[in-house]
Order: sequence, then structure tokens, then C-alpha cells
Amino acid sequence: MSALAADAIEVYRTATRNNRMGMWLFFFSELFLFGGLLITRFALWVDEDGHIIRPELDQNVGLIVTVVLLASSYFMNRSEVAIANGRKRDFLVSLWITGFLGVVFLLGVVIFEWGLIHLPFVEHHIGPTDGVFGAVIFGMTGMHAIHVITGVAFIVVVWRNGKRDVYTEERHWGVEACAIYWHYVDLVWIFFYPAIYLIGHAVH
Amino acid sequence: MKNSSPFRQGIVVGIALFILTVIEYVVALQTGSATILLLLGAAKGVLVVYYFMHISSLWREDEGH
Repeated sequence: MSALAADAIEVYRTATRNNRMGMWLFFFSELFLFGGLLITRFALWVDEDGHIIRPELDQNVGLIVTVVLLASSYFMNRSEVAIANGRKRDFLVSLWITGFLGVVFLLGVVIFEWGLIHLPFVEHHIGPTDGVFGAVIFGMTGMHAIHVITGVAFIVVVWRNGKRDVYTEERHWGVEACAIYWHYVDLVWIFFYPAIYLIGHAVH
Repeated sequence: MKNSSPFRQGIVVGIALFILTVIEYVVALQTGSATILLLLGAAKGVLVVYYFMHISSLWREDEGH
């Protein structure tokens, strides 16, 4: 390897390390946003005796959308590992599945939980004006949904770049950035799921 | 396949996340203990942050792809 090529690789590695630190600082700042929403949930969803409560939600919807998002995280990881091992087709297919599952998660929340799209076989569970339950649920899931939409857009951009052979085994920071962003979205839901669906006594 | 170990690791972590989620669901139906549920959530979070988000790469000098 020539000295020039070695220098170029070192410059890229330094830039990637700095980019990675920037992403994590961004995640850290976002913790205050999602942490604040979690605190709001536990502060407001209590009964007169101070016991933690939650609204009566469809548990199947919560479990299914959670499993879908976790599955998407697995495929995103597979996509990242694939590009790092020079498996372009596996990388693109896994990335496509990740984006698809992200959209499925989004539709699951919008159609089944929010009831924004009215289908004859779907009951509207809770609305934003349904008191403190509705307001908090829409605040939490709405902010999370915006991040899911951003993540799906990010995936589309990386997929298109991948089709054009922008990434290689050695140079794929764009894929890594997209992956850790998507996993961050999953991480937030890992705490939102029990907070919204599981913890506390269900109140009708 | 050049290196199958990371692929296997992803599968193992994915299965672990799925099992922990099912345990969460069962615990919620049986006891509803907030402490247990938050601990299970934290365990899942650690798996995601460590294995999927590669947080350790922040302090490894050779990580620069």
C-alpha cells in the first residue's frame, strides 16, 4: 500500500471516529426528549392512591408491533454485517426488509392504535383528546413515529447509495450511521412498550 | 462467507430480544411488576446498545470503517 493510500485510510478512519462520536452525542441529547416523555407518563398515569395505572389497550397490537420492530433491528444488523463482509446482495435485501418492517410498525401504530385510518374491522382504541391517557400516548408514540419515518427515509437513501456501489467493505460509515440510528429508534421503543402497554393496572 | 461469526451473533441477539419480549408480556399478564418489567427492558437495551449499536467502538482505536 502506498503512503498516500495509507494516509487516505487514516483520514477516513479519523473522520469516521469523529462522526461516530457526533452520532452518540446526538443520541445523548435525544435521551432528554424521550426520557422526559417517560417521566411524564409515570408522573401523570397514577390514581388517587398513587398507584401506577395505564389505559386498557390491545395487548396483541403492542406485542406484534414490538416484535416487528425488533425483527427490523435484527435485519438492520444483518445488513451492516453483510456490507462489512462484502455481501452486497445480502446487504441490500436485509436493508429492504428493515425498511419494510419499519413501515409495518408505523402502520400498526397509526391504524390499530391511533385509529387514524378507519378500517371496518379495526376499532379505534384511543384518541389524542381522550384525557391524560390519549395526550401522553400520542406524545410518546407520535414523537417515536417521527423518528421511525426519519429512519425509513434514511434507509431509502442508504439503499439507493448501496445500489450505486457507494459502500465497500472498508468504507461504509453511511450504513453504520443508518444502522445505529435505527437501533436507537428500537431502543426507545424497548422502554416505551412496557411503559405504555404493560406497567400498571389497566383502567377502563 | 468471509466471517460467519457476526451473522451468528446477530441471530443469537435477535432471539434473545424476542425471548425477553415474550417474558415481558407474560410477566405483565401474571404480576405486572414494574421493577421486573423495567429490568427486562434494561436487559434488552444493553443487548441493543452493546451488540447492535457497537458502543464499544467509541473507545477502540482500530474501529474506523
